[in-house]
Amino acid sequence: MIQGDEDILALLATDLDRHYELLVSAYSRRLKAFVLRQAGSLQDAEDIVQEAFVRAYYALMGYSAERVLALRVRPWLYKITWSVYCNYAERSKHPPLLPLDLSEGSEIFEREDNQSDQPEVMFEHVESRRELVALVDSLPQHYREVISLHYFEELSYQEIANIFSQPAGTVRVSVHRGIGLLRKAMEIRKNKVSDGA
Amino acid sequence: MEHNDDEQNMDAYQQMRWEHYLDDGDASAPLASNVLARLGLGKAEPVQGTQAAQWLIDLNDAAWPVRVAAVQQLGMLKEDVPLEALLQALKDEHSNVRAAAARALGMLGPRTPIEPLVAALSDSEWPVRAAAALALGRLSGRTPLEPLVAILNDLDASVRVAATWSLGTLGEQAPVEPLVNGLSDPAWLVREAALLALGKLGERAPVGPLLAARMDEDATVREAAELVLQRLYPKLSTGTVEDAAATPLAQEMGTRQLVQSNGHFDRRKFSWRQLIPSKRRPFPRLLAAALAMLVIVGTVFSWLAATYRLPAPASSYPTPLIKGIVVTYHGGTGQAYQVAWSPDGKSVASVQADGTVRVWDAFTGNTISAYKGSFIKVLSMVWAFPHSLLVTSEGADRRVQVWDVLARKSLLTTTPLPGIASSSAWSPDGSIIAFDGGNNTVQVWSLVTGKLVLTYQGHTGRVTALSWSPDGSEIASASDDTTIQVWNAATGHKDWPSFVHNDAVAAVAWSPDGKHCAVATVRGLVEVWDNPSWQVTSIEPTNNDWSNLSRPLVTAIVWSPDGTRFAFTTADGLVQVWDTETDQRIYTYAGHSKQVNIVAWSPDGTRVASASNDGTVQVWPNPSFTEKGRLR
Repeated sequence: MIQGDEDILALLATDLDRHYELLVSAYSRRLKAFVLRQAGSLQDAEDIVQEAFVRAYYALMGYSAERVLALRVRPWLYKITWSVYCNYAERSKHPPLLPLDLSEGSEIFEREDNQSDQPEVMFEHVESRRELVALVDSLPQHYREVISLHYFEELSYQEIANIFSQPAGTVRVSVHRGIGLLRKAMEIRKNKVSDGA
Repeated sequence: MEHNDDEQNMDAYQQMRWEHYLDDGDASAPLASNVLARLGLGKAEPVQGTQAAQWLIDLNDAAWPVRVAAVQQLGMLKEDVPLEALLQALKDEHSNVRAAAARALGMLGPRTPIEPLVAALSDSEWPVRAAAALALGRLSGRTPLEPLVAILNDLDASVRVAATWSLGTLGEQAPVEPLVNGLSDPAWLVREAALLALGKLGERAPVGPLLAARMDEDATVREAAELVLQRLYPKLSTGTVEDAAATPLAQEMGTRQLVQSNGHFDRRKFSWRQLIPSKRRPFPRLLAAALAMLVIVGTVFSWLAATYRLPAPASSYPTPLIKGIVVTYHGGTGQAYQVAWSPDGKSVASVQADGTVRVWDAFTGNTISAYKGSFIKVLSMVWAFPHSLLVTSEGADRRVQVWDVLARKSLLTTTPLPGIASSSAWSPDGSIIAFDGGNNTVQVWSLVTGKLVLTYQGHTGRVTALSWSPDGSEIASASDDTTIQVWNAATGHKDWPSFVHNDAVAAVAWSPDGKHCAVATVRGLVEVWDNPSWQVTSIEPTNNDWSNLSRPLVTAIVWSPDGTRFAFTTADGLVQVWDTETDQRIYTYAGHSKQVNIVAWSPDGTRVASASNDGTVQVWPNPSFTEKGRLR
């Protein structure tokens, strides 16, 4: 049974060495999926996540119990993992993603309150969840990542911004644009199905 | 947009993603095992000595995880641990085994050997170096300082984090300066570790760099800074980060394009070349040679000029020459009126009328960096730590601002002043700034809270100079109203009756030990007062060359770091140096052609930097004398 973040942090605050395994077990799969979307190689993703956990341990060593208990561990782990990935990308000469530019007059903000943009609504329009996975995976890499982190990892815009060292506004626009692209992809798919029928 | 509340959908989606990429629901197990093995954190239980033989055999197993487990188990034997076996493991071919050995050695308490762990700090793999650094931090009382400070420059961030943590465990023995330097590390994890380590130092932690860290570009570091500040200043509210970060120096300098929309300064895009025109332009050879000759001639001239211009004082001291090279800085434009030394004594920061803070080499006079601001005037500078040069400035809107220039961050912005400020002074711990409010008042502001602490209204004339007592409890203020007033820095209560002179008072300075207070009037009367008796112990020399009629305006008084001397600067371009042990003016520096505005003593007291209206800042040696008055 996977324990909640608060439970894990409470245990880490009392004995880091003894309970660190709990943190690794709770987050290794999520982080591996996160890296896999970037690195593309299962072995690279495995290595990167391992290194991230090792580095996270050395960071936690310096934390007081008070600091550990106050930690927002999920975005914190993603942030460390992203740093390790960036180093990996630099070494392998595949530069990490660049921040998206913000253009004036974007229609994204007009859609902010559009209920059809809500992912749960979009779920209703796909015939299978596997189809949604395929749709999300078809997005450009950056949109794919911020949408996953925001909606499925429940990270706030600011937390995602901290991970990618981007302004929160940039992340917000990326999420909205990604949702817009998803919707277009669904419409295209729906039209193809209709034409076929 | 709110988060999706449909947890069922999300869980299904997550599960599907993982199934899409990964093998099965237990896919984390090998990864977790590998991580724990790399850290030497396997599920080991204490074993009996009789079982240790098997672990010793396993140390030679072909598989590194087996060897790591053996090291871990052997380490748990504590008193019975075979030290040689762990030392052998510290030389294992696999870095994970070496890291586990370093970690196990660090758990042995008094038996932990120091030298092998120090040697492991040079290991080729960062996990070994990090484990060794952590192990050295666990030696309670035996932790070696120098190797850990040295490895703070390691190329790997986690090693620097580990070394920072270990140094933080030293408590009162922890070196402050290297930890403060860590606040400027490019890796946010190191900056955070440095903050947390400084948080363990209590009052030894310098508040200025901590406040600057509160506006770090990284949110995690900012959180840590808040945590540390709240711990060190539990009675104070630390305010909000966002408010302060919204006005970084970059915005003041018209470089808004460098500031991200979240108000954080983007270091990667910043280049001072955008602000300061490059001076490294190609010169024709002849012109370069001519300039070189000019520099040489200028240097020689400066050296010749750095001699005693006035006759000897009425004492037994002869008139020695100031020997040594005088470095003259010509990098700025207009009157030079602020100067400060770097803590290591290698650099000087100065401000001239062009409004640029320049940092330059104290030995060559070469400009290292320049910081252009839009402020009208810099009121004061303090450079107490290597990466924290604090500047108090006044802008066109009559607001006083405090900048950490090197970090390019604004620490404080006051409300508009009723008048134009002309002087300011920092509290000894750098957490509070006092400045003249422009309407015969003194305003005291906290950098911790960003709020006005009090307004002192005891003067009836312009406040010309301020000085904090070394313990930070009192402020001495000098004024055109001919008084010096000493008042409580926390309450504004006047602790002593006003000290009244015949002339306006131009300068006041508390000695480093707090036992004396030097004051000077505009007519050149210089006095040293005792604290707490407030009796005058010495006054200006009665030598005949300095009659009341010819006494020049004194512009500033500054004590040497050891408190044995103080220098006062004059409007006729001189710096007079007074010896408090002999109550004599011992020499005069006459290298400037116009009014000297301020001087700063180097941290070791061997040199003095003086800023003048002649547009130069000059660094000259502060000579020491034999008992017979000869230069040492």
